[in-house]
Amino acid sequence: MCEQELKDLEADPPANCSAGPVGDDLFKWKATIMGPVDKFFFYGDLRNCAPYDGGVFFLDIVFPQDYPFKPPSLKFQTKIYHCNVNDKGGICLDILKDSWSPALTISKVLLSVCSLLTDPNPGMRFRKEFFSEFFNAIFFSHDPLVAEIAKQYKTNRKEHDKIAAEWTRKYAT
Amino acid sequence: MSQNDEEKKEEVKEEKKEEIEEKKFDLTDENDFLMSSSINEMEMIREEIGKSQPLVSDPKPLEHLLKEFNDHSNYRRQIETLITNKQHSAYRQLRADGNCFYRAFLLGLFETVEATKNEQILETVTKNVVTSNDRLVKFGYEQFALSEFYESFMDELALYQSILSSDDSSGVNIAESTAVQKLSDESHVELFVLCRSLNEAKVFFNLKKQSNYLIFWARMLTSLQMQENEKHFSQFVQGKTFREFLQTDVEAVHAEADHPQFCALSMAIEVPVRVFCLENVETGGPQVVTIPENGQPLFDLLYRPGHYDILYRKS
Repeated sequence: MCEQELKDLEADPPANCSAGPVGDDLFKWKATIMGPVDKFFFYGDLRNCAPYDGGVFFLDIVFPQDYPFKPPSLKFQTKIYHCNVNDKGGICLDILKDSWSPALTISKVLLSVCSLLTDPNPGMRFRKEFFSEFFNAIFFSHDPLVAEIAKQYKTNRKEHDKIAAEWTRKYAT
Repeated sequence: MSQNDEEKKEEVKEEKKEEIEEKKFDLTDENDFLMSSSINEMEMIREEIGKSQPLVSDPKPLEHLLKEFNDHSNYRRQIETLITNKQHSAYRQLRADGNCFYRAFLLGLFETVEATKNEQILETVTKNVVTSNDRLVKFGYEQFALSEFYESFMDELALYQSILSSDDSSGVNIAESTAVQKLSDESHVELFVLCRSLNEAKVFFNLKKQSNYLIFWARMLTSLQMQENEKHFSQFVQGKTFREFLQTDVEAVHAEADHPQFCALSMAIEVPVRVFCLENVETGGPQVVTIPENGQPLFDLLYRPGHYDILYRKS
């Protein structure tokens, strides 16, 4: 199954992501995600909507023995200021937990993580009009992992994006 | 002056940032713990259930149901009605692991095929399943992620086809040999052959690994049926988008099935089923529902809130 995942990624690599096994062990992968650039201006200020722009984020992927019946585990290795990623790199995304389905692929999971960077989930509904229905479907309505950042995201978006951009410069470039 | 000011601002910023970082670290330890513990808890609960209950029980007399509902007179009354109606001889209990509906449905179907030797049923099901993989790919699913499950399901149908099309005595042997050929690279061949030689769908559905493939494909058949009839099925979805519903309530590995999923699967493979519903009501019951309404039900299921078992008719 992991081999097929790899073939698929090579044949049809998703935009802004890449992934592959670290060594001979096909169950341990590394992935990179390029910080997304938001296509939309936010009150006329492009930089404010893309606090992860220019960053390269590394993730570890571990496939469980009973993959694809259990979800792969994904962790950010690069520090990132985001309300759904904790300081250990753990990601709060429902498809990586109870909503996992064997029909999902690593490529789709990585795209969901990308979407999470563009649109954090501080515990409110998303700006759905920005995304395809499919990716909106696979992350929603979970409590944020880092309550403090979520609160800041909701109440002081400007400051949140500034710190996130600083972290991106400091740790991800 | 202005340079100094800027420096001061920078310092303040740095301090603020550190403060936030500290707070974040305080919180995340707890959060991390909560997140991992909630996943583990669910796993532990499933394992605990697994130890105490097989995936599929042996058939039990209906009187046994009364014991399960010792303190619930509303349910006991309906079970007693079931017993006095004398339509059913036994029921089979399935593990409550989120898959009970799909396991009950498939087991009921394959047992009916085994018992009735009705090729028509099998042909209808095959006709509907054979195109399912291609239809799902059209909806944006990855071929490579699906094919293993699709092939398992098709293999299972082919196996029953070969059992039915050969005469009674040699049927099982032919089925066995095809199974061995198909699964010769699998480590579970021995178990598989063992269960085939007994020729019991029940044994197969007690094997978690193999039956999981069929159960997942049943979920995809359900999802496909809903997507092809979005207008009808989206009326049952509340508080989330249709796509969200499919992901979390149909395709997710442990998602429990409700009435819409039941209708969708039944329609998808054209297998009408009758359900006896035990509900917490003061009078009457059990309510009997045939899905789809105008169908000739092939087998019966027993429903109680949140769970499905199989009911066996008196022959």
